Amino acid sequence: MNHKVVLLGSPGAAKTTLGLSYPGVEHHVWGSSEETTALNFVGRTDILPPVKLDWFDTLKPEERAKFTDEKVTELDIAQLTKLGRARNVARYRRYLYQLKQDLLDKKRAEVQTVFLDNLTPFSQEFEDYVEIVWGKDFLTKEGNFDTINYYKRFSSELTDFLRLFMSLPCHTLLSCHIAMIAPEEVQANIQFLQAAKAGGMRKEWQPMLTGRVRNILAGIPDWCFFLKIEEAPGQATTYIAKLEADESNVGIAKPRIQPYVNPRRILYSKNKFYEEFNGALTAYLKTGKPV
Amino acid sequence: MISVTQILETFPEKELVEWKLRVGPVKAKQVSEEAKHIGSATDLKVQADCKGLPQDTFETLSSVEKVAVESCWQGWQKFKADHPDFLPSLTGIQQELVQGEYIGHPDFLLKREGWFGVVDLKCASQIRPSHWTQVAAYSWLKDSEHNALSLAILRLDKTTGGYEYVELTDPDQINYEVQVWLNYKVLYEHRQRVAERSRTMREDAVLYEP
Repeated sequence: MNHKVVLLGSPGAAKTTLGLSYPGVEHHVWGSSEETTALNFVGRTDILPPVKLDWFDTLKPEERAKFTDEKVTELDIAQLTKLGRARNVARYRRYLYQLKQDLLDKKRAEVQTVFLDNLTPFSQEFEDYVEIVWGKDFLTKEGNFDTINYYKRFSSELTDFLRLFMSLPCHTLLSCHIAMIAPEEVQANIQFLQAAKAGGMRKEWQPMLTGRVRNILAGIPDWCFFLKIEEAPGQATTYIAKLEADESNVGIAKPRIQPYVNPRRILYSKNKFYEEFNGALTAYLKTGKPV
Repeated sequence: MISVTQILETFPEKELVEWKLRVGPVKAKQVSEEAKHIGSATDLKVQADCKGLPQDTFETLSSVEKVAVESCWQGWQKFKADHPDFLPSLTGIQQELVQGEYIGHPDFLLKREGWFGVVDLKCASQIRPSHWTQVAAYSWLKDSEHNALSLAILRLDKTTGGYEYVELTDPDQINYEVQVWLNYKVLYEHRQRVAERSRTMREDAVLYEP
């Protein structure tokens, strides 16, 4: 059974470590230097070279030259940066289509897992992609930028992309940062801003993404783990995964199959998440008893 | 992976679309959510019963949903009493079936004269044509060369506490349903290709042309 997993957590919650514990993993790095974490897995020979796409590579020589030309305005540079980032997203999507075909044709047997790390910075490049590729659709008759339509399109395009990613015929994982914000129910209240000023308003953890895709994300994979760590002086760090929401993380911890006795506090060993999760799933599917 | 339900939901039945337009998006969403909760809870209860596991109490359900689940549960008990051979013939519950990039989880797989049958559990108010396409899809996922010997829908009623069990055993009828599924699949693949082609054309025009 291929695992379709989203890993949510703050920086340092072991998202990358957890993802790299999967077999035959091709790490798709977006953000900073997430691929360095792989060096912790000493002795592993099945971690494939990371895929790290730099938007600057997509620029033509004459476009690159503008970055060092003092006559080119900052606005033009900003526009060019957006164009590069949009091309980068387009070529990544085409890479995934090719990878999917190769996997279906059994041409890349070494790839057992694809890990997009991390969705938050990727989605920022994706915002530029939507603005550049679909930009004309968002201009009103008066020449203004229609933000509502832009975010609707952004949400549907990113959802489409995530479905493509999760449809790869192998284990597919993606990590995402989180942010603490007011729940949807509170935000929908007209008195929201006044309540926020007054303080004492309940907040909850949500994926750090712009717009409605934040609420859609958890519905796409089969498992959505909310990760955290507990540190105490002189003690080994405890790695904890949650697979069931409570009121602090509504809608961002979800199992289609739930194999644990206590899904709100799953303790796992660093670097061995896959082994332990797969073991729990196999045992549960065989016996019907949570472990 | 693309699930059977994802494909079927891409092409909703005309009556369903008309109903959504008639009642409006808010009411339609509310009714769909409620139906989903009832369906999931009933599925879990029936699965636990088949596996001999303890029953969940479903505290998060609304009172209306709890009443509906209870009604479905009564329907299941009646069905079991009327069909004592059903449970002994089970070979799979929510078993994952994969064919290429397609995936599905039929509620029940049965032993049928050395081959297999597929049964899906529904809590809808009536058996719809797409339900047959869905069970036919599971048959194809189980074996794309040889059809199941039977396709069946077990509908548990949300209000009367009764059930409706309809089984197709005629090979021609089963084959017809499997062909309908294959056409759904082709249409879905075509739609995906068209969407991807228009996106690529647009990307090329905007991102790479001077």
